[in-house]
Amino acid sequence: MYSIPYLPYNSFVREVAATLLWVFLLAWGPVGATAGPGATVGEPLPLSEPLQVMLKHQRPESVADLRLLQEQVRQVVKIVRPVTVSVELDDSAGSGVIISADGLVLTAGHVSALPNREVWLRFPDNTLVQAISLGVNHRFDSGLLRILADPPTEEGWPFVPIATVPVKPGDWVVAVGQPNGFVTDRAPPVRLGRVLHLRGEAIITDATLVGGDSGGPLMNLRGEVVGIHSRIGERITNNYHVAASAYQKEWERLLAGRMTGTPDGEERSDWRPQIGLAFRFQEGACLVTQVFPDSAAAEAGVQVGDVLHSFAGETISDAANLARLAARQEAFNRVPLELEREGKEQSVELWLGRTTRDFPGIGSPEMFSRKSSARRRSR
Amino acid sequence: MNYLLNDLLGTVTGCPNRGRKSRYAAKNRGFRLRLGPAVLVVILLVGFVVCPARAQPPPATNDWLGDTVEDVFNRVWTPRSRFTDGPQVRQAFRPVVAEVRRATVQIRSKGRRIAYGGIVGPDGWVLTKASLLHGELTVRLLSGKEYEARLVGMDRKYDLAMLKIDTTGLATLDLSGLTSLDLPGLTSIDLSGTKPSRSDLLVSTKGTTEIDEKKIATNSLRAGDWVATPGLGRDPAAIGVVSVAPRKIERRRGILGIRMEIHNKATRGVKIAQVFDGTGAAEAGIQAGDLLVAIDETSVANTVEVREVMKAYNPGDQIAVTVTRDKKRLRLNAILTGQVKDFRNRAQYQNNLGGKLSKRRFGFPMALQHDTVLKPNDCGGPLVDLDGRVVGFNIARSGRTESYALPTAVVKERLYDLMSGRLAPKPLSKEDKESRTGSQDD
Repeated sequence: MYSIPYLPYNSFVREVAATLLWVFLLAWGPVGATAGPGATVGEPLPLSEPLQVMLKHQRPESVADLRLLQEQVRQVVKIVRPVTVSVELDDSAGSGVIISADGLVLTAGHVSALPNREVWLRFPDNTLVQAISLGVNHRFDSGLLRILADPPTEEGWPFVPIATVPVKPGDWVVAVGQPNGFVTDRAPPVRLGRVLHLRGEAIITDATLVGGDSGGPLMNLRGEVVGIHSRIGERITNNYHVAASAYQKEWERLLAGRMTGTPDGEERSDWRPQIGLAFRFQEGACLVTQVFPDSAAAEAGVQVGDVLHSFAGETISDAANLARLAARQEAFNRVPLELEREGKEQSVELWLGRTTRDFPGIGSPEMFSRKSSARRRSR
Repeated sequence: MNYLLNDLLGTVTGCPNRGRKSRYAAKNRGFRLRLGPAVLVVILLVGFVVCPARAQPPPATNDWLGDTVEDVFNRVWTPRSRFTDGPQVRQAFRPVVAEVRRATVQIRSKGRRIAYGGIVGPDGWVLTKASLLHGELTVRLLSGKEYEARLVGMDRKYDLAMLKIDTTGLATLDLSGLTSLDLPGLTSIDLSGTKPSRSDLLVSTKGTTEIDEKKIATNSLRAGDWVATPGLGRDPAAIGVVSVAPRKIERRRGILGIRMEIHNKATRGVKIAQVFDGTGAAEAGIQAGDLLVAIDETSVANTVEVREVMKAYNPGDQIAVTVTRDKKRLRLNAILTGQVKDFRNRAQYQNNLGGKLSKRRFGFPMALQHDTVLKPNDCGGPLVDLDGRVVGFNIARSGRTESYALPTAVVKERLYDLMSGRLAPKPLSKEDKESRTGSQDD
């Protein structure tokens, strides 16, 4: 199948080795490759022989079987509780789980709602750390956060790995989170359940969830994250989780801080991307006259007086051009901006924000169509 | 076999008699000529049986209609063997509850089970959840025998009640079980005393805790451990796992539902200005204009005193309100409610999804939280671990994800008072014959 030199002549062994090599590479996959410098994939917990035998039947048939399961669940609880955090924002609260040593945290899309927001994470021992929301996917209801504070030790933040093998119906899962919000001296409550259904990127289990749990981890018996709590239905057995594969599929976008889809209750057309500066043309050059605080421009370090040369790789030539270029982008895109300051060329990356369409100043693309530009000229 | 096949073939080919004519002749010819349709039919049959188990229901939508459609499919297509507390898993618990169910009882009223209970004394002492009791009570044992029950003790703080039935020689619960339960990874609590002791078992660094496994007591119950609620059957009534080690559950304000006159001119009571609809006061028959003179045994002279007295009660508690109306003294029983049901409050709405909650579910000095799905009338009886040890008494269904149990050590401390008569409910007077406490003393 694949040609691998220096292995024993036996082709069967070669094929097996080739397959194992592929499995190894795939398993190392997105988490290993892009989890950032210094991250190492956490070790999954071992499953004892007798437990593996029991799991083949999927359900316990004796007290001894129950005890095997109980022992394993204890191990999972031990590693996941310390890294299950309560996620707190201005207008929402939920849960999250740390999945890399450099502080990446998985949560639900509707908890963080938008990229580039200030987030506070509360550990079970009530320690508070600051984080920032990265990408959000409102179709899957997935979200990523990054801890901004320094990790407690040289090895980085404690974390649990993401599973590489998806769950199947009947699998045992452990759910933790902070239902109804953080409560002092109440460790993340543990619930045991089983996978009932898989539906696209959603996992449905009978591990009960309630408001506040959103964003918390669903763990398999190996102590790996297989899902993130998302929502509930009326019945007690309708508990929905976003599959870990949804995160892995969109990993690049989540890491880049992009938003996919629109938050609940919002209309996409009500919003437009925003750079956050005002400018005017002076002798053919685009001069920055204002930088709005807390905007994409401010964060990238753009200053009043800078001369903007190109945006998203395209040269800025007249007022309409920059506005049109910006309007063509998606909110929360990462866009390069070339500028000149005191004679020196500089290149910054803008993480575009957004604003409502009725925000004064640079208008929508419609403003620059032939009909409306006639209106403008007449003003 | 061939006979059936030929019948089938007969149906498939539209010649119903053909199949029956000659079993043996048709056997060879029919089988060969109609192999195609036969195979097709078999495939279709297999398809109908096998595919529903595997077919994916229509893609999920976010609206309620989508959920309803999904719901129907889930109901039809989820095999019971796949559930955590399905009958197959529960069967494995039979040895776990075999002993304890001999000392478990049903508390019944008007032909229905209103609670479970546990036998704590061989001469007919039964412990259960107080706020579930109303009307004439009977206790049904494992043997099937039913006895009339007398309420002999009620502890409002813990919502426990002691019943007495007229029999001896009963199997009792072994409450010696656990002496320690570990708290959320931070301390180990010794329940033989009441003060948690910071143990040297744990080393806490920022964000991580390490437990010296060898030092953990062997008879400890941890989060994630199985717990079973025995019923009178061979299988447990319900199963789940420990969610959080015992902690104090804060009380909530119990609401009576009256508005008192601020400028109270009465000297020995408080005039009631308004009674709100749908509250315990309204249901008890308290009326605007009544003069409130006492709550349970405490007389109240002004609004401040009323508020002070009310602080001791929780939603779900039943209180006896004494009022004066038209020169007559009435003693009315009201059940306190919790905060107004506000379904715009999303958290409250979600917590109520999936099943009814116990009315009295707040304000326990110590409660073990577990994820067993219980109905309110499943409470009151013992809760056991995998070793069959009684770890607590189910005391409330408190939310969609949680049920509470009073730890055994805590319950043990109340037994004496409950049995001694010190906490006996007041005997009924003529006015409150319709009282909902089922006391039969007179």
